[in-house]
This record gives sequence, structure tokens and C-alpha cells, in this order.
Amino acid sequence: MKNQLKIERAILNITQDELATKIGVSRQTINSIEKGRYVPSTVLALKLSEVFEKPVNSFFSLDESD
Amino acid sequence: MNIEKLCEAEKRRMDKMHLQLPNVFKKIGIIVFAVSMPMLLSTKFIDGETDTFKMVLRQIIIVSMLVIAISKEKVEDEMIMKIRHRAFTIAFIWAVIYALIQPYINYAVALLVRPEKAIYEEFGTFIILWFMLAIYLLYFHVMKRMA
Repeated sequence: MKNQLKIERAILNITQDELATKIGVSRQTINSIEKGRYVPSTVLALKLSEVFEKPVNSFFSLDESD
Repeated sequence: MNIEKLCEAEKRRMDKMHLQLPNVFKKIGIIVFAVSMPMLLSTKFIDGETDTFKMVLRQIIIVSMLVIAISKEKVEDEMIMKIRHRAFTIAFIWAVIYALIQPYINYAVALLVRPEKAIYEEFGTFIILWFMLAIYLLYFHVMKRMA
């Protein structure tokens, strides 16, 4: 799974810590999602979608391996 | 009440169950473990009857490790839950393998070193529980660092 979380976060000009607080997870979780080490649940993806005000598939997309 | 409703009610009850302790218990568990583990090791150097003391210390160690294992992190989110789940699975599998195979390894080593005293002995509850909890805590810590 590829993601553009870092870009979306840069557009909003918020830190990993601020984004983590907004959706109720740890900064480490945001970092792991950005690095592609952790694939979030649907609930978390929808929370991110609410923060970025964009549909989930605009910042998450399937990889060749998926 | 039919069986489907009963299953549904049971599922809801299970979902509501939170088998975790607040984060502060983690520190308490670590302190208790850090105090009782050296005490248990030091009983080897004490002369006299220490069996009851050792038994109590072993139980305290297991309880303290369990408290550490089930205490929440500062932020207990879904990634931590996933790591926790994976660590529990790995620890459970390793504990079963250890309990089954290690007595044979010990017996084989004893046969090679001291054949006259070699006997097959299964592990006690303390060793298996200690091993399982130690593997869980180790895996959880390592996987959390690597996440």
C-alpha cells in the first residue's frame, strides 16, 4: 500500500505529533504509516480522510504487491 | 432466547471486556519484578530452608510480569494492539514448543555428560509461564521499537 500522508500533512502544515493528536493515535503510528510499515484500519483511514478533507483513495493507493 | 441471540449477546459482552490495566501499573510491575528477581537469584547463596520463600517469590515474579504485559501503553492505539496480538501469538507458540522439546534436549545433554544421572523431567508451571511472559515482553518491546 502506497500513501501520500507526508504530502497531505505538509499541505496542512502540521507535524506528525499534531496529526496524531487529532486522530487519537501515537506519533510513532503516524510515522509508521508514512514509512509504509503499518497499514491503518478503515476507521483510522476515515479519520485521516476527515482531517485532510479528501477521500481515502486520494492519499492511499494499492501497490503492485497488494 | 435462541442460540443466535445468545451468541450475539456473548459477542457484545466480550467486546466490552477490557482486560488491560492503566499505564501506571507498568511501572509498578517493573519495580516489583526488579526487586523480586534478584531476591530469587540470591536464595541460591542462602543456607537453610528457602523453599517457601522461593515459591512466594516465583509467584510474585509471574504476577509482576503479567501486570507489565497487560498494562496499557501511554497511547494504546490500533498499531500497539496489533503488535500486542502478534507478540502474544509468538509467545504462546514458542512456549508450547519449549515445553515439549526442551525436556528432551535436557535429557539428551544429561545422557552425554552424566549418563548415570540422566532422567527425563518435564518443566514446572513457573518455568513455562516465565518463558512465555519473557518471550511476550521481549517481542513486544522489540517490535514496538522497530515499528
